[in-house]
Amino acid sequence: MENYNEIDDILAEEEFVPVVFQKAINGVKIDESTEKGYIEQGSKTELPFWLARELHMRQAASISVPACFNQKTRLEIQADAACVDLRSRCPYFYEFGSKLAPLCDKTIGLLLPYAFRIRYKEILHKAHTIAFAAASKFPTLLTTEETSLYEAAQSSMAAFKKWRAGGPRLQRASILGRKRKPAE
Amino acid sequence: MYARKGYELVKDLANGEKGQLQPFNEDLFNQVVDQCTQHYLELQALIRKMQEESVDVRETRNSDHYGALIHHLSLIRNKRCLMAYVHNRAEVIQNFAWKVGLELLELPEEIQEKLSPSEKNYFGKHSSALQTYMAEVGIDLNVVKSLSFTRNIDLMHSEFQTNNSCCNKKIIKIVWKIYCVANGYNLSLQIVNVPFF
Repeated sequence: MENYNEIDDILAEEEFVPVVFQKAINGVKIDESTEKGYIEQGSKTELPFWLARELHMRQAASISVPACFNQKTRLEIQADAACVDLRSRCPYFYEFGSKLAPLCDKTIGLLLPYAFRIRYKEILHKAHTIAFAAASKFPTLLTTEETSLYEAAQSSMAAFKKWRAGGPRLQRASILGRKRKPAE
Repeated sequence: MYARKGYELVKDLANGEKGQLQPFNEDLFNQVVDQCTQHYLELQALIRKMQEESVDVRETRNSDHYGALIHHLSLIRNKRCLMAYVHNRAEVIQNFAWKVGLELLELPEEIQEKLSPSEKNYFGKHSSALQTYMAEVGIDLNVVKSLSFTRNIDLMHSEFQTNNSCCNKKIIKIVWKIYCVANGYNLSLQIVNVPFF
């Protein structure tokens, strides 16, 4: 597994998906609120993706499409992908979607590049033109993957401007950034 | 919920700023380990139950088997979270050697407080391995952080008649190396033997 130690990969796999159990399961308590220590066949619940995938592969549970890829979201993306608040739906929209697509709904595979193509253009455009990032609502709509693109675009623009102005070439190491100035 | 503690641990790491080190979360780390033990005990109990009912543990796919499977998967998941936590911190700590200093005592106290004892040990061994290597090869690889070296590069801007604004740092570094070799300067002594002062 090449992403074994990757934080984003782990977090993306923690997204919940609705599942229906195809087998009865003993000795587990999926829902903390109930006292019973088993799962009946046909019962429905939501599981983190890493668990749902393994159970799905062993025919113990079937996965259905989670809310962040439902019809409503798809319609909104088709209307104007750049304005959809994907972060509140799923902070790892693309990662999660590409993992999910082969397991439950192949059309997600078409949705992702469509959404990304439109949003990518918008991200690059906004990253260069928004002067006050705090005042803009746009960054709050972005998923984690898009945020890193947005920040990369902004920092490269800032570096370019600094280079043109011939600014200072010495930079503090980023790990020392938090140091307080000694009181004089 | 299953393997939830591992997720919390990774989340804790992800919430910190990139390149910044959070204090080692000993408490949560131990909770994850405890949860692993818990999963292991429940897994064992289910397997034992299957053995008592004298069913074939390898082949049978009954409800006990799937219960054991879930505990097994949760264990593996928690292990992955623990590994990722330690691994990603270790990467940040390794970078200290280049960015701050090769000795543990060179690190500012704020950073030292955030390391766990085994991480301090790791840092010490990592930097001593680096130092041994550099001594063997005879090159101080850690020139980038040296302020005086950067100043030398600045001086070389004018020396080589290059325009400040279009100078690539990498090119300067290579030119500097060639300059040192050509003039017989030992690369590791370059800060002392500055030709411009």
